[in-house]
Amino acid sequence: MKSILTVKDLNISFNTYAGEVKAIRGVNFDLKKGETLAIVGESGSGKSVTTKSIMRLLPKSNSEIKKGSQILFDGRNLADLSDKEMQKIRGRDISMIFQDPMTSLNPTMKIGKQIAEPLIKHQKFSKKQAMERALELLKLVGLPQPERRIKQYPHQFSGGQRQRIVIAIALACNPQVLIADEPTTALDVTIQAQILDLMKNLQKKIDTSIIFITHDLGVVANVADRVAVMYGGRIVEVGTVDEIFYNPQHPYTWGLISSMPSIDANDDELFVIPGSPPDLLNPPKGDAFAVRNRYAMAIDMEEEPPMFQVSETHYAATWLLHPDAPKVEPPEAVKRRQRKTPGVYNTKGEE
Amino acid sequence: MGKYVLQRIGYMLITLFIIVSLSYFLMKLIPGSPFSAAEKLTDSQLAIMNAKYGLDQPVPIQYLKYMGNVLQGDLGVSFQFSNTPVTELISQRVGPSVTLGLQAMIFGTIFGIVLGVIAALRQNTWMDYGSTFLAILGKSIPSFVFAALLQYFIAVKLGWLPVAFWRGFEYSILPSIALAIFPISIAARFMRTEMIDVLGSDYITLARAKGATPFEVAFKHALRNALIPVVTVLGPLTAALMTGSLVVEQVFAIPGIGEQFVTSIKVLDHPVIMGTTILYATLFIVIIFIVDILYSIIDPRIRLSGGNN
Amino acid sequence: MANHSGKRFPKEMFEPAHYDESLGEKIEKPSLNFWQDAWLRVKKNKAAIISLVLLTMLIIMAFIGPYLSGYDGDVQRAEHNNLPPRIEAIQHIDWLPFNGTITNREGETLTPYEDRQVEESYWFGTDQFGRDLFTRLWEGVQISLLIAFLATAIDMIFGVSYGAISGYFGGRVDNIMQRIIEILMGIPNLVIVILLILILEPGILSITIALAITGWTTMARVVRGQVLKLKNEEFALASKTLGATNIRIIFKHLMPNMVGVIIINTMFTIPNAIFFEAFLSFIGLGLQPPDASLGTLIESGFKSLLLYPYQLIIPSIVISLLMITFNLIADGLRDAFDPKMRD
Repeated sequence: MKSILTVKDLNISFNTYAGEVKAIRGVNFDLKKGETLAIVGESGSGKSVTTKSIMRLLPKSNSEIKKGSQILFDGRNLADLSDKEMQKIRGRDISMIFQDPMTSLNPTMKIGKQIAEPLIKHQKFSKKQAMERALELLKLVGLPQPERRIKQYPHQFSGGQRQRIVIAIALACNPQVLIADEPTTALDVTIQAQILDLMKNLQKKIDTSIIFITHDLGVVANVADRVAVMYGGRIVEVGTVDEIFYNPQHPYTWGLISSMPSIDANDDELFVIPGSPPDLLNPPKGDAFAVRNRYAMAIDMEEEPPMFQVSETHYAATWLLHPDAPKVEPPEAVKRRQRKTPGVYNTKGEE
Repeated sequence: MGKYVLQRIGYMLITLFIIVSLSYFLMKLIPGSPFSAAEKLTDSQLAIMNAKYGLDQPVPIQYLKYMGNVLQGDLGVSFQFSNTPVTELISQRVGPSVTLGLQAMIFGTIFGIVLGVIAALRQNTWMDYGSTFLAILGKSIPSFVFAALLQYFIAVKLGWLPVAFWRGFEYSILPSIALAIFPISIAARFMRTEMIDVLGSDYITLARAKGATPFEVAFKHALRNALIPVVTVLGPLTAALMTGSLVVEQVFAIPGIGEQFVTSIKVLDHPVIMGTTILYATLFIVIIFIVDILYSIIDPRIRLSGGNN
Repeated sequence: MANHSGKRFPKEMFEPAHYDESLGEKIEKPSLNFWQDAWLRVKKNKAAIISLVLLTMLIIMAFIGPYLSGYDGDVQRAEHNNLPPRIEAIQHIDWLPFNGTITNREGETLTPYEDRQVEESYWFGTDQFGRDLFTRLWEGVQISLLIAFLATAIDMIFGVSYGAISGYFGGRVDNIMQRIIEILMGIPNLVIVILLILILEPGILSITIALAITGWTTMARVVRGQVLKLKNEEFALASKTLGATNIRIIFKHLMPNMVGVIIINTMFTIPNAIFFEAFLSFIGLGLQPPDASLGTLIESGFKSLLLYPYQLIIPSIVISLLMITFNLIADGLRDAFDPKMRD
């Protein structure tokens, strides 16, 4: 399948009072046409920074995309584009949905106008055309009584409704790439499911590629085709959703999966990954995860692991995959999953 | 909305009643008779004067009479300018004070807002530091000090503008500037904070994600949202302008209410002190009320309710 | 995503490493308490630090200044009246205004020291009664600061208690106390201050009281807001379930969390009090002669502005410096204590 967006050797730093924080340290991934790529990881792992950098939305005053970073889209490196060129891409080719629908709409602008804005800007619609299209979009995202509500202000909508409006704004110009930054985290569980369903349906209708950021593995299983796991500013494992869920290789992914509640687990206690994320002001030598990793080896303290290939689509950055490394037993929860689907990792399930 | 407005008006009247009563009794506590200050009067002359102005009656009776008159729009007659009604004295002097206050308020808030917006959009550049420094100066230098320095350097030394008095627009420029520095600094500081706050909000990121230019982001999305709360400083600014006008009118010898108030304090002209107090209190309360209503009109999020808020 | 190749690693590198679960819990940054943290932040604010140094110097001068020139600020010497500033060490630098000359309205330069054969030098000149303005200036600063600090202290004690009681007990008590404040805030301070001074007759104490009576409402509101927020937080509830008394909870648990807000508010109240004192003096309700405050100095300086501008300009600069430094320090503290600004 054709890649629509390729990120190569992305390095991003933030300049703070305390010094340079290396938030993203050599991230590589690609997004294929029509797929949903989930990026998972704990807070501070760099998933939001990565996607904000694709949109070039990071504050210029204190952040820096390092030289040599490549964000290839449509034959161009977004990292090198001028602000003017970037404004033409934002909202038209790549658009974004944010985490908190309560704060992501302009409180003093009617929602119709907010949806119409990118249409007038990028598609050169007239005001009237734009409002008609806005109405269509509101119907598309399933907002009840769109004719009446198009003239209302954001505070007159519930959280779920607002997220539908934000989605309508993002989809206004039929973007090729949609970045969803934890779009359901701030919502109630029942509303979460509705929004996820909506996004899945819309993706089929308008054929857009989605980067879906989340820390919730349950959501990942529901929406993603492929998964990239981030830790400490790097991608530590990437593969299809089945490979990641049923045959994970990286100890951090093991930890994530073991800490997921599951119906058939009979453990009384939920697994937690000990410790806290690394300090990216002074990134540790070797593997950033080593100090929290019970499977750590001497080499983890010295050398950063490279990406080892597991299958055509599955890679993981852990020394455990080195031929010289001892065979270790993954945790019980992971083994249980591996037993359930022996061998078949690169085809999708019933989804 | 209607219910809320009525409730507020009721509340305003109660506040006003308390202020007037409090001021009245406080004034009665001031030692010294207003008639002894100017000239030496014999006891019998004093008694005649007291009887003439009804000051020989018990204070509660005087109070009731006064309140009755106030309700009919009668603020009594001045002791100093014998037999001139206070309302007439005040209305003669309202013109210069209102002109000055409005000029200072309009110029001050607009200039302050512009400074604040520039500072926020060019955060941490020399423009930001410059405007912040101006704001600190404006907030720190007392208006009468600034007025006196302006008068000395601009009018006396350079001769660019008239030194004092009230004979036309050019006479109002220096006093207006002197009064305006406080509104400028308050509006600039407030605007900068609000604007930075708004510029950091999620909906601004979303606007940028839609492809809006920095200009559109700043003026279409951020400015309106940042401007709304600035309305709230108008109340305190009014109070500050009243205070400022007292001394600025003094410095520039402007025949306004402030100057008259200061004089009436010096000669203990009770009816004028009371009349001006009522005027200031009413003005202050009404402006705060207008600000609240205005706020609810320009901010779609606020819907006034009848309950306590 | 190239496979690893090239570099070979010795076998023993793949031995299990020493794994210590507590290592992952290690927090890299040293932990700072509230004051250390705030101080670190204030230190970064250059304007606040410069202001702090300047203000300290002004305060020191307020105490030692009156003894430096060797003149008594209350002694009148008619033959030395209205002498312009002269400092011998720098009197030959013409562009500095300390050469003992003064320009009259016709633009002529007058040399009153030579004309009147005055041997002494008055650093900041003399006033219309021939009193040394250098001494009077620092005495004035002393009194202005005294009034400001006193008024602010009363403000703080009363405002904090009122706000804490109102917020902590809530319900009816809070309701009544808040209505009272609302009405008080509806009255322009100006009117009350002026009436109170007329009643009490101008003086240090009456000015202080008048300022304190009108100033405490802001503090009370701020403290009430904080108490309302804090009293429902877990640490306060926990203490309550352990049977702590109200007084103990307020002072032991709530107060320490409000120190920042109270300090910031206090720092903004002081320049306000300095301003109001000067304002009252300027409209003739200030200290009575021969006492000097910054306000009375400015007032009498203004009267002779046309002929002897130095009499106004010097106290004006000092009061402005005081106000600016206090405001900048207050700004610095607010930024330092404001959790929104954390990076």
